[in-house]
Amino acid sequence: MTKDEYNKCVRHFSDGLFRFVLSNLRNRELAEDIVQESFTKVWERRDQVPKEKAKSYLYTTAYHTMLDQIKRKDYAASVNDEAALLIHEQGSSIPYPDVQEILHKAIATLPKTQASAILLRDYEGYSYEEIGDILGLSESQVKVYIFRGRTALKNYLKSMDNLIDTEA
Amino acid sequence: MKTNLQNYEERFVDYMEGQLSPDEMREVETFVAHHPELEEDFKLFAISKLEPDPKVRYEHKEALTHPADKPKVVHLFVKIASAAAAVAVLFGLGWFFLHQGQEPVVTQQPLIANLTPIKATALDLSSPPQELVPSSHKRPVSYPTTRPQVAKTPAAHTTPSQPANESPSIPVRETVNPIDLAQLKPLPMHPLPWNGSVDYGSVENEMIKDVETRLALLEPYDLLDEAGNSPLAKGGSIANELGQYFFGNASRVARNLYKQTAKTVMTAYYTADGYLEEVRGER
Repeated sequence: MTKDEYNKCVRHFSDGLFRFVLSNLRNRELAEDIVQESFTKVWERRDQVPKEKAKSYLYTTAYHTMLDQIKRKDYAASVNDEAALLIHEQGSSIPYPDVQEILHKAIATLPKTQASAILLRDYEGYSYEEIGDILGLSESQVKVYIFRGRTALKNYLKSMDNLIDTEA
Repeated sequence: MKTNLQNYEERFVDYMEGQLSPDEMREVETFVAHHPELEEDFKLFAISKLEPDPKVRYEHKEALTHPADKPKVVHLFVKIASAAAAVAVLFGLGWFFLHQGQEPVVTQQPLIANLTPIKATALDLSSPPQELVPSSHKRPVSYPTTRPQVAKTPAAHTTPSQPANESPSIPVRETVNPIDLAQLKPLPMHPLPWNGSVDYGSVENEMIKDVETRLALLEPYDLLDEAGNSPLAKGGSIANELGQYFFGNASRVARNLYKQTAKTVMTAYYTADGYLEEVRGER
């Protein structure tokens, strides 16, 4: 990958990669750091990364960097704070929250493999096989993770729906 | 695979994921129609698709990019400097040979026939010999201590106060050193003879060729001006400055120096040529 091709990757993929990480973590500062670190790794290994594989390499790098960050205690604390905020909002300030907003809050609470599989599927339109390549899973494993994730989201929506009905 | 109460969630996910054929999709729709208690789940699965928010953008793209390589551009300065450098080398070599003090080699060539020399000097052999060459200026030319026998004072150049037949606009040299032409031998003034094949690829190509041609025809005794200095040595000095400015990227100064150098050499040539013509005419 040439310098010009790398710069094109930055222009074309940085927004999507940032949304992918931010939706997983719901922590803007952390997401920015992971995006930066991912592109830095791609730049350092640009001689080994063909431009056709650059995007999937970026997502793979971001995914593993994200998992490393999650293991850290400070991130766990920030997620708990986020979850607490979510519960607070559910009960008071947003009587009829937007479905996408609920889904994005819900996806952050899922296991990262499930969340990542669904986000790659919905945001980028990747096939199960491509998602498997990025996450290091088989196609059948991807199908299982997506099924579990969709079911969790459905149940989350259902609980919110019941909550709204109860308040109404 | 048929949809049933054990696998309906999986079938609903496959439905919204687009993993089913049209027949399978109709089969699932029929199943939902027969199980209205599952219709809510079916609809919730259908809307559980996340859409990216285009307003969420990564704001630090510029920090991630690396500046692209600039294309190489050959500036006009380079062309001009190339021409100037060629002249600098030429003059530098001439200056080098001039100060070598080595035994001269006769490589005299005929002068250009159609040149119009400037009658700028007059030969006055009545005056005693004067030292025109500084002691530090080592030249392989010896000057006679006695009055030379080959030249006599012509009527047209009797005294400096009577410059007959001379153009009033051109100054006349009052004292001229007596030169024994028989003892003068030309220096090797062909450090870089031009054979017509050199192409500098610049707008000043013709000018350079002209200067080179004339330089190749210069003879050693053409190289002294009224003060006894060598215009060619001066040209060499300028050429040295030229080189310094060239490497300093001062294109405008370099261009001016190039012109100044060429002008100096051309003036030296015409002056010396006229002087020689006069001396030879008197012989």
